[in-house]
Amino acid sequence: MIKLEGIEKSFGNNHVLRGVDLTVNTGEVVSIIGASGSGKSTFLRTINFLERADAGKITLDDICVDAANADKKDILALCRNTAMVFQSYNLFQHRTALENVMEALTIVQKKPVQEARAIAEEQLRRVGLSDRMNYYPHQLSGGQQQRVGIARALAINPKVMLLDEPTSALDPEMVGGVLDVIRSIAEQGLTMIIVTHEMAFARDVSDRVAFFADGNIVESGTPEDIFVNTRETRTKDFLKHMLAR
Amino acid sequence: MENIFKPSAILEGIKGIIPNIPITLEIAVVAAIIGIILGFILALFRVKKLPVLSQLATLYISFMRGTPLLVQIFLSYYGIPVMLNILNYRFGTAFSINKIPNMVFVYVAFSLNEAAYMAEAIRAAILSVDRKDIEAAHSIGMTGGQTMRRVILPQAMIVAIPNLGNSVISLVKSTSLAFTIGVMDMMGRAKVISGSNMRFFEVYIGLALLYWVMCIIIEFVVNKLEKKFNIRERKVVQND
Repeated sequence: MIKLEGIEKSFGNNHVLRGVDLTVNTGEVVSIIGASGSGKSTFLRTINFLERADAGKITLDDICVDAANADKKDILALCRNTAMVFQSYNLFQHRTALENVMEALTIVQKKPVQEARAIAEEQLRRVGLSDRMNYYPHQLSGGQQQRVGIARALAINPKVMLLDEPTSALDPEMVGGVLDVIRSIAEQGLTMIIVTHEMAFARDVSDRVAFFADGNIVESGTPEDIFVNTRETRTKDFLKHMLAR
Repeated sequence: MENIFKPSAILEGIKGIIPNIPITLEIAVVAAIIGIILGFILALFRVKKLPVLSQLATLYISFMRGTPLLVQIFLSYYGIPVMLNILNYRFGTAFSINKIPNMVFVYVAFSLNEAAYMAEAIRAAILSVDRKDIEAAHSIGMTGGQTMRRVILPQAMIVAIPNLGNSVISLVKSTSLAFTIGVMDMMGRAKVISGSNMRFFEVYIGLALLYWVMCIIIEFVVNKLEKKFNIRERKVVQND
């Protein structure tokens, strides 16, 4: 279970996160939707300290970190138990697909190379890239790169997987394939927090959806609650705008 | 005509200078190695913005790049004995200031100078590594040291190679200043030969050709290295 309490973050005078609370149970898939600039990506990035929250508490099973005075050990503990899939893939440019996936296993988890390779090959197969293992990122399409990014995250065997707009940078024809991969992982019971602009996907894959606006969660509930029985006007406006596109 | 310009003296000059090539190479290699190590440390001070150390590194680099190498050689030549004397006076040590080989002053001056230039090349290379790669390293739980070794340096190296190569080429040419404090490198040797056969122009043509060939070879090696490390030129390896 991951529990975020009172997450605060400001960039200068810009108060981006205003005491956000979110609890995600083990095996649950939670999607965060909302307009660009509402702070949802920043929120996701405070979980593994890519952005350091000014205040708030992050609890991941038995790891409990107070953001304001977290030390390196706390941050490493969180990073090593979470994995992130980035909007622009963020693959290591100088390593092949296989090496990208093996990196965390051999360097961080100190697994023997043989074992790491076996796991990496297995994960790349899972995302449908067994024939692209020795390609460098620049030799792969956006969709393929993102699937390597997903394999790299899966290989860590994280307690929570964080996905930061995983399809926003993709060409439209690549989106479906990547979403299918994420859907199949979600169905296997991995805990996930997904920031996304894909409304149909969020509705379909999530156990719970949270609508983010002005640095906080305005409304959250089952996909049915959010998309059909919407309560808040702001959520309604946002959905109307998104579906009208 | 033979009295005005004697082409065969060029060849004789080259033959005479060749035995002293190792001295020149020695200066260049020692200065390049110490320069890279020291330059890397200076670059880290600046990239990590370490308090005090970063400012000191900036000051050091500014001084080394803002004063002539020839002056630095003299500072080393006259300064090191003075400093040893001060040590002897203060702490009762007994360093002999008369037995220091001239090469030591040369090593010190060239290494310290080279470090300043290398530091800037390495710093620029480290800063050129994509922020996204560093975020990915953080997200999979790498420590700062692991990120440096596994993600930043391998990519920075590719960027740094051309600049480091240029720096080494200019270093090889600068070694010709070492003769000013009596080191018998290629330049020193050329001075001796030309002084004795009075064929100054011919001998210096030979000397220039030798430096040129050395720099062409270095350039060739640097180009090869650049190709070798550039992933965009690598082919896909299929394993079955």
